[in-house]
Amino acid sequence: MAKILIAKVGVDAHDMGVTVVTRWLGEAGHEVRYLGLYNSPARVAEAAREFKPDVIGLSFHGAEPVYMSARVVGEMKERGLESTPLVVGGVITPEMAAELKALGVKAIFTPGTAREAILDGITTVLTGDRRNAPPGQRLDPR
Amino acid sequence: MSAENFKPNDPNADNEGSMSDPKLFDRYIEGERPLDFKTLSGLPLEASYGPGPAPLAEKPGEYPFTRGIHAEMYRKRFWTRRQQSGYGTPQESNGRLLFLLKAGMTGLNIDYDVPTKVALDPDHPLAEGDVGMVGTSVATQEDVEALYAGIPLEKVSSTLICQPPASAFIVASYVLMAEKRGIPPEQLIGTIMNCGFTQLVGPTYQSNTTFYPIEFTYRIGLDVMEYCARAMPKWNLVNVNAYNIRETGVNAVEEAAFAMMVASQHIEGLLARGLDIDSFAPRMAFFTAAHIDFFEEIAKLRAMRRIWATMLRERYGAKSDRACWFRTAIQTAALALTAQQPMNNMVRAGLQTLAAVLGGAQSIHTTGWDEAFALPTEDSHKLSIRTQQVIAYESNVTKTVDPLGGSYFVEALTERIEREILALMDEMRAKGGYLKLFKERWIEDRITAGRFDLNDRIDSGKLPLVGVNCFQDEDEKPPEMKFFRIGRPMIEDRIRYIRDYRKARDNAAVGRALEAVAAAAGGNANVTPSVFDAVKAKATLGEIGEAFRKGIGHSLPV
Repeated sequence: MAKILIAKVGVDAHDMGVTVVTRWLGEAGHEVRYLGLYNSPARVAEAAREFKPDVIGLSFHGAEPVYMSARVVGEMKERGLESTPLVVGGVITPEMAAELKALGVKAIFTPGTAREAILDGITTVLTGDRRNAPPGQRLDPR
Repeated sequence: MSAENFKPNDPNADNEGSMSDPKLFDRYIEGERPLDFKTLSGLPLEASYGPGPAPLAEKPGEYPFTRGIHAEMYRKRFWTRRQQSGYGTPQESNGRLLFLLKAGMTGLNIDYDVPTKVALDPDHPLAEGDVGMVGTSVATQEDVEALYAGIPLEKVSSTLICQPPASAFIVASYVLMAEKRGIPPEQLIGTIMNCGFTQLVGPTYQSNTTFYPIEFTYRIGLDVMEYCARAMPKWNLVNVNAYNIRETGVNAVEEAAFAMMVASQHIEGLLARGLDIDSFAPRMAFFTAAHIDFFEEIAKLRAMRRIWATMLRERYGAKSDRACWFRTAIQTAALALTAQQPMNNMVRAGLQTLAAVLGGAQSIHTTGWDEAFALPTEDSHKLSIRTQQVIAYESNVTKTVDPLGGSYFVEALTERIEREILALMDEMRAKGGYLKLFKERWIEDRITAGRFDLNDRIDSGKLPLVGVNCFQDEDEKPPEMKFFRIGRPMIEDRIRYIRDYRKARDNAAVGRALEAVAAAAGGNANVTPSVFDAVKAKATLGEIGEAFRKGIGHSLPV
């Protein structure tokens, strides 16, 4: 099971999706820390340094996901944390999804994604990224 | 639909009436039928209904207005076609407003971006990714003038989607702009949403307590209402946002009961200030959701009219009928729309719009079919207007009032949902009222329970969502349609604009005006006069918001 950091970035406060997904991930046995609303990109990166998550999830409804995710990636790089995979969920157009992928975002979950698909997606991100890690550090997909 | 479309059966799950139930295939032989006999909010539904104990003798336009607030309703005047709009700069949004008015929109409905709503200027570090994103960016009186350029304010009614304390700035800027054009405040027609409990994203706790304490937000809301009650007799001074309550994931009963209790909180605040109920209650209004359960939504609206009328007359002693009119704008619920097979949303929105009309709405926003992805494009915005025009001009449902009145079922469902709403309101009153319950996170806990329940029902297939948990397209690809998108240069433009604006004014005068705002915020007097003075001195919205915080000793958690 993984450590997952989840946050809303900026001033958009639509949080139904993020609270539901946070609960689903917790129920699946992951150790989840949800930072709540109104985080600056720097605050997310700081929380990552402290919590050392295996994956970071950002949720967007109204803000510009590409710009905000890029800012988070930048803040992570400044702290040498760029190897932590980033996933994004929320109201995201296909065009934005392509840009997020180009930015290095590992998975994108749009509205209506089923619980199983989210859990599987997170597992794939984790195992994918850790495939070449020493055996003791690989994550058990289940 | 094929077997592959269904999720594998979980042997541990309760599959009674679930779309993931493999027994469902047996129903192809038996014929398809509903998965249960309940409304979306869980009210039981009988196979058929007969006459109730007392048939409804009430006529439309008669107290308690179950059948509508006017005797003639849409025979005399259609609902207002009031589409929310707003994005980017005020100049860009002005262009969209003129486009929509030309397409047949009959009332304005301006949405501001989140930084504006929480009183941050575009160059505030927390605002950087949200400027102009889900509404238009407004920070100065000049911005407000640009937004409404070329629009006759005394002829077209205008809804301003903004909550306190930013609503004080928005009202001041609007009134001062009108005065510049020679239109006095008493001639202005429209609405300031101005509800500090519901407007931002509904009544979730953190969203409503971060930028200002809830008591302060509530008080400034009352300050603005008091100003409007005295100076703007044709203006709606608050619009309780039941829609946003509903969109957090709660059910129709909670939507209605919470909204009524919020309205009660505002009423009691104004009464405590010595205002007469008949001087302000006629200018209070609501904004409700039309979700996908057709009859439940119609029954909800009919029940809300009856509850409001009875509450105003019996609890608050309103004499005028106008004070007892439950007037509501309606938005077709975006929560009912899906990102999967998005064209299905056109059908959903059509049904929801019809429910709003049969429920007796005063104005309607039909949500765009592409809004599970982005703000609507011009084409999708126009389709929303056309949807309403087809219902208004072609379907003939407008030619008789409350056509469902007297239906055994609709009257029984109206009574049933009314009973549920009243019981929840009684419970909330007994527990100390809305503000207290909000602060104790009782409201938050209800929302959390509601949204988890809703999502579990969708995920388990118990609540069918066509294209999402049933009738999925096996090879669904991202839709190849044009989505609305706002570019980064707009944000840079806004930041440059606000910095230049601050350089080109008498900063000593601005400083003095802001001191007065801070002093008013820290004291007990109405803040609106000091906000008017600050706007005249060219203070920005963000500066006024900061002065509020200074006055009450509140800081941002950044």
